[in-house]
Amino acid sequence: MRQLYKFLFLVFAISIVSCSDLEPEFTDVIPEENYFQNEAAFISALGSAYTNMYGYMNHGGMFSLDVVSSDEAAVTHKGPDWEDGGQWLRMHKHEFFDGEGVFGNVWNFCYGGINTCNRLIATFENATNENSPAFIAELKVLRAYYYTILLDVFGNVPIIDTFDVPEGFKPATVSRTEVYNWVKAELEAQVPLLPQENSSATYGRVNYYAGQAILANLYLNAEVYTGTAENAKAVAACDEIINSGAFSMESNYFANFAVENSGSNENIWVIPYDAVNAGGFNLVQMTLHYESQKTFGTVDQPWNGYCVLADLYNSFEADDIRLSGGSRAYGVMLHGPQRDLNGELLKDEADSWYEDNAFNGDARVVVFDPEINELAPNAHRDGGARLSKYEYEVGSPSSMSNDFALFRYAEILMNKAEAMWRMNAGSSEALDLVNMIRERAGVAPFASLDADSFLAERGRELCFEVKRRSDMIRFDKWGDAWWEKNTSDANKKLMPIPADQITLNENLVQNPGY
Amino acid sequence: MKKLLTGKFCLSLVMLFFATLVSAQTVRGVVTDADTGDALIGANVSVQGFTVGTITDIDGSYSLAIPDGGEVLVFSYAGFTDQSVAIAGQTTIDVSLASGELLDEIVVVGYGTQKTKEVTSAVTSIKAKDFNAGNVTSAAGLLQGKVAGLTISRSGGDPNGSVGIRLRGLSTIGAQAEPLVVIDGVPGGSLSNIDPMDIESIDVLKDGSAAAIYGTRGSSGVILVTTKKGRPGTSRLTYNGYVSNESISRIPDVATAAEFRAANGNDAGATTDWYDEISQTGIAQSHNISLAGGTDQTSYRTSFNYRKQQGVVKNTGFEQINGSLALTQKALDDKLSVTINLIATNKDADVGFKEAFRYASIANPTSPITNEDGSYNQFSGFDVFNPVAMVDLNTNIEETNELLANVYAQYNITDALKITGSYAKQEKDRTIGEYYPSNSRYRGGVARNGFARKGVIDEHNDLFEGTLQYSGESGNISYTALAGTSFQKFNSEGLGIQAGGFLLDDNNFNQLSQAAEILSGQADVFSYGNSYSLQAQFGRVSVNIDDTYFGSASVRREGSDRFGPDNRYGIFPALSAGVDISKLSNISGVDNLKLRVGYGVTGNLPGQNNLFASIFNPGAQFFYNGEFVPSFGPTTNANPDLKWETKTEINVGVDFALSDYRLTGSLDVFNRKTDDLILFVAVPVPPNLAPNTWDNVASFSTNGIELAVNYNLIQGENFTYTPGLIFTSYSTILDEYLEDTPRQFRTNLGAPGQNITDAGVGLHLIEEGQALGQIVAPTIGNITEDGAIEFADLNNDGAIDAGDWSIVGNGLPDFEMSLNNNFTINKNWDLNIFIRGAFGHSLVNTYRAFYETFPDQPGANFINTSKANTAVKTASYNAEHVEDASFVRLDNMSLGYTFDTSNSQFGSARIFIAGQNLFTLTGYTGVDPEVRLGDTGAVDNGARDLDTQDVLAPGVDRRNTYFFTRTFTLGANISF
Repeated sequence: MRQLYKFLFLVFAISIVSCSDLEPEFTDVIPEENYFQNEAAFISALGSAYTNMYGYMNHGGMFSLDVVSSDEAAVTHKGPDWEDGGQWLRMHKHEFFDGEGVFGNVWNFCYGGINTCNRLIATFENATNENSPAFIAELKVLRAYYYTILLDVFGNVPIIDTFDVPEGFKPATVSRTEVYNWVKAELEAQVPLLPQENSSATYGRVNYYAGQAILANLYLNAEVYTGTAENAKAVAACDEIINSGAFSMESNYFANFAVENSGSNENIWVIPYDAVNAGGFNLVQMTLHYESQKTFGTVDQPWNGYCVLADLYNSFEADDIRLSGGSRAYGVMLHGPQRDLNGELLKDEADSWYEDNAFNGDARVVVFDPEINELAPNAHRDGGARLSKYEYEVGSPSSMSNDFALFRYAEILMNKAEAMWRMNAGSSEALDLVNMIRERAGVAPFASLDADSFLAERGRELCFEVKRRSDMIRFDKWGDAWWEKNTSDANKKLMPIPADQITLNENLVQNPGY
Repeated sequence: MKKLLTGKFCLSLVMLFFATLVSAQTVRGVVTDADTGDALIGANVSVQGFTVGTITDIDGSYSLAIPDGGEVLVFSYAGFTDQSVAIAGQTTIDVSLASGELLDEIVVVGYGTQKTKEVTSAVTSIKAKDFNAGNVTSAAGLLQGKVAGLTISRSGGDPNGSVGIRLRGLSTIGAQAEPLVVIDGVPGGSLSNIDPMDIESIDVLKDGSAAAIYGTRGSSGVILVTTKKGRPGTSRLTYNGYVSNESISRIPDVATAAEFRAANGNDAGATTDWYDEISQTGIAQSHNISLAGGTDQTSYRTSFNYRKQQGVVKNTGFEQINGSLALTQKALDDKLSVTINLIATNKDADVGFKEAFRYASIANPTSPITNEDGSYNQFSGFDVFNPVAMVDLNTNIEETNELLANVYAQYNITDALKITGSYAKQEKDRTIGEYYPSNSRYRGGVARNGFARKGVIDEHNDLFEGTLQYSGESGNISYTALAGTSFQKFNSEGLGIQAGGFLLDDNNFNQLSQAAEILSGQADVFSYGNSYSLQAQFGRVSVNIDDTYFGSASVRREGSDRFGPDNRYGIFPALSAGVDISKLSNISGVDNLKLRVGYGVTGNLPGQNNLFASIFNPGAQFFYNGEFVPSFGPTTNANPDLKWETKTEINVGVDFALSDYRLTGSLDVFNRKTDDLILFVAVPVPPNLAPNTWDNVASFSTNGIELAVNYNLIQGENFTYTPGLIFTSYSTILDEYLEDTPRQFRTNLGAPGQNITDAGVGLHLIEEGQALGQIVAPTIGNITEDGAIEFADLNNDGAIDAGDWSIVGNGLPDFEMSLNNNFTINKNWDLNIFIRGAFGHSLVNTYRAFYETFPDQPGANFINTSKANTAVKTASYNAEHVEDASFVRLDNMSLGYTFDTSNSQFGSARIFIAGQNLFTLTGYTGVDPEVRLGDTGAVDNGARDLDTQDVLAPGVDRRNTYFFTRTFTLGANISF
């Protein structure tokens, strides 16, 4: 028994000696409470609201949604390549359902940005920093911009404008009209607080003019969103930009899409992509042929996905600088035989002759034929012109350095023209504005404007700028048939709320038809 | 850290101080096996006529206080004849026991040992003589098929590949799906630091009641490795060595150049056997020299191991040096013993490129290897590479240095009361280097004008433990009690750079400062350094009543700073009991029949630090005022409520010995349930910032049965035959999944063209109430004239969508079985034939899913199996690509001859030949029907496999699988 007591005594002694506190050591991460130490930290915190924008041009993001579901481009099935569960086929044919990955991506892109804005607004409201009021207004406008995407793509979505929500909070869907009204009110209140300055200090961020451009776009589509047009307000918003004198048309159309396009006086608000610092603009990978690696000396082998539809190619007149490229070697799309950096024709050893599948001893030359043989399953590997509006740098890594313009001055001119035309179909000012655009493209001016020519001109001028879907809906062409697409249901004007979000939040209401 | 170390070291000293408080008069000695000279662990030593006694420790040594009047010591050991020795004033008595009838052995359990008869949990002990023979380079390989419930999966023959270990199926989805490894008492050990030749025995704690003493790390089971030690007696020099020859035994059936031409493939004019061009016969050699011996006060063993192995892919293999030293010194009247254990390994590996197999499979068999100018023929097209250029031009190496240093002190305060203290340090440093020269198309060599990666990764941990052990007797009840404390801190640090742009390729990855991309900003750097700690107190009481009733209860309270302040500690109890029915009633022919029941709770940690805290991470660069500045913000949702995952297990087992111990075995039935699984779950956005959060959700349970039987079928003078059978079957059901998502697809197939997760489907379906590992696929409904597949509308809803994907198999087997056949002939010859199989599992044959159709890519080769559906011209994953992969394999066969050394200077001498993977029976058309426990993910165009495996996605035979090999070994075991 004495030994047992000794044992128990020692057990007691051990437990006293061994009870030290466990505290995590944050040796290579920074906990939130230690973060805001200096001015630079505040600025870097603001950055996370903007860096979210870099996802805009990712494969499977907003860009993909717009160009593939519209009549601009398709991702053809080249044999087994790009089948990928049929998502891109369904997007093209307007047979998409709520489980397509692209909807989840766009949803998370928008709400991720919105939540970050909400978080930062709360942070800056509680911080005594001289920049706080300006940052808060800027964040509110940026947040409203994310909502304009949701309004346009999904229509009926929840509005959440605060970061501090109770645990388990599941926001409910509100109607598209309510979303519109909220966004409009927010922008009208906050945009005037932004700096009326277009300089390197505001480059890549929302300033007063970016805010007006967002507003102009919102008003122009108001009839689609609510049934009530706001064209006069659209004209006024455009005039805020035009009359400021802060922007002008570049004489060279392609200056706006060059690798070094930060000097463009036409781009109003850009995502400042950069191969090293701000990756995410991967169009070089998404559209170019595997063998195009030799044309541009790209670091990574391209994926051979996105192809331009022949209708867009055919809508250009042959001497349209936008198609021919003018002083640039290529226009908005690559077509015809492709060559390597030494001028030799590109060959695709893995491809075969189409007619009889027999091999004749020579590999097939890569020719981007604007007429694609079929959408699926055996689209030609080199079928379809390829997107090349944004200049490809020789030696380009998979992330491009071209800044992507969300709004251009030329679009503002066309928005103003369209709003005026919608109020007065005979407006000569509207015609003059459109003809300014055509003049730069080196094509003859229009004598008059009608809906089809208006939409087609927008299509040529603004192709691959993520405008086409809302343009087609506004001009009521969305349900029409086009290449490898039948007429589609009016419900397809709104995309479905992502299925997994509906599962996670029972307060969300699915759009009709899904 | 330094302060912390000092504190813990003081603890160890305090314990030793307590230990010196008491002393008494004793006899010491060592008990050995008269036949082999091996120490007998757990032999009984008692004083005749008194209730005083002890058991020998792991070195076979004992010390016992002799009560007044004690004159004779009695030594007994299960399976050996008792021996009595008069003390007659001696202080050291060594005895050798002659073997008698085989009874039972000693089993290493956590923080101590038990006799087999006293064990009340599911524990399996495997001794060195029962290990797998041949070219076995890892400790896990020694055990493959030997332990019921333990699945060891090594698909293919990659010399540098990892081995998957799973005990009783999956018990966590998190980071620690593999069992905890404890090396000579040091938990968290690295099996790769132990040369298989230095292992004495391996004990596997299978159920919760056994593993609970290891608390938060016991959920996936515990593997206790005991290394060989020196013993008092003459020094013994031992050599173990072998050479082996490894070759590819199974390759995918691809078209030959002639078949390819006949099928209208693009004829490039040459005839190339790409498999042949990238492969070689892998020659391996291993040499182990050890010296062991000792005196009454000192014992030692030191060993040196050298291994060199070539893989079957050119330019792959490794060279390894390992050394170990175990030294035990006794002092203070033999009351104190101090053991120092050092093990160090240096391994230089040419990891190479196992992807070469995949690209050799689809390389055009009519393409020449090189162009006329001697340069490599670089293929064009997506995801095709010249495999010969890949293995010849590029470099992928890894150098690993490992160290285990352990100091262990034990002081016997009295014979009944012992105190121990230990400190251990484990270190694993790795240097990785890769280089892709400017003429290699693979991974950016050409495009980036030479591309290099170099990284240094350092992981180390420090362990401080102290225990008190008390053993006593009262009447016919004997009991032991254990109390202890443990603190372990794990550190990991890393630094690495990858950059391209080299003027010359000569310096490989060793001169990164000259990379042009460092100046241009395109280089990437990683750097980290972090740590976490575990702190525990634990205790256990074991009781033996009259060798008939046995019981054990333990508890461990453990804390980790990986959790928030409110959830830092957890308590993990266990209880088990057993009764030997043969002691209660005399059943004829039954020598032993023990029924046992165990219950235990274990835990699991999340795989990362700081998940509970809101962390600001650097993000992409933000364009501010004309320049890029870093952005900072939280990229994940913090979860301050995150807590332990817990696993509760009930095990019912029976151990039996019948017909004079000719038939022995165990049967175990278990139910284990894991709750509060730590998962990265989707959360609604908004209101959450990020779309996923680490949270405690979901639970699953496993029911299983395990049987292990050995039968001395023939016991002749000149011939013996002992077959042994092991059977394992279990199934895991997902009881609860995410509240909002009872059903979820998982696992991508990949590019080209089969990124099916983009369309909301996957290879696996995770579904509440269903088994884990379900493989799903759409079914072919119709094949169009141009060879496209139209899928069947299985649910008749008019749409072909996710609802039409049905369950077509399960990646986990229904049961696994192995049959061991031991023969001895004329006492000199020993023959072992080991057959192993897994039944009922399916594999997604991704080679077929991608490359079976022709002429999708007329420039690439195609897989040409008997199961190909030739009507299909467009590769599209469907039910036909999921194959039953049941197999039976002649896994291991060895034949040895032991020389009669009684009249020579040799202590013993044996030579053997062994063959591994000699023969496989299976209907599976892929490379290796072995079970795939986890999934390495979809990679294409030369991308790297995932670092971690998705354990919820078993059964995917990925295109990067290393080809299956066969090995023949010739070896010798000699001692002097």
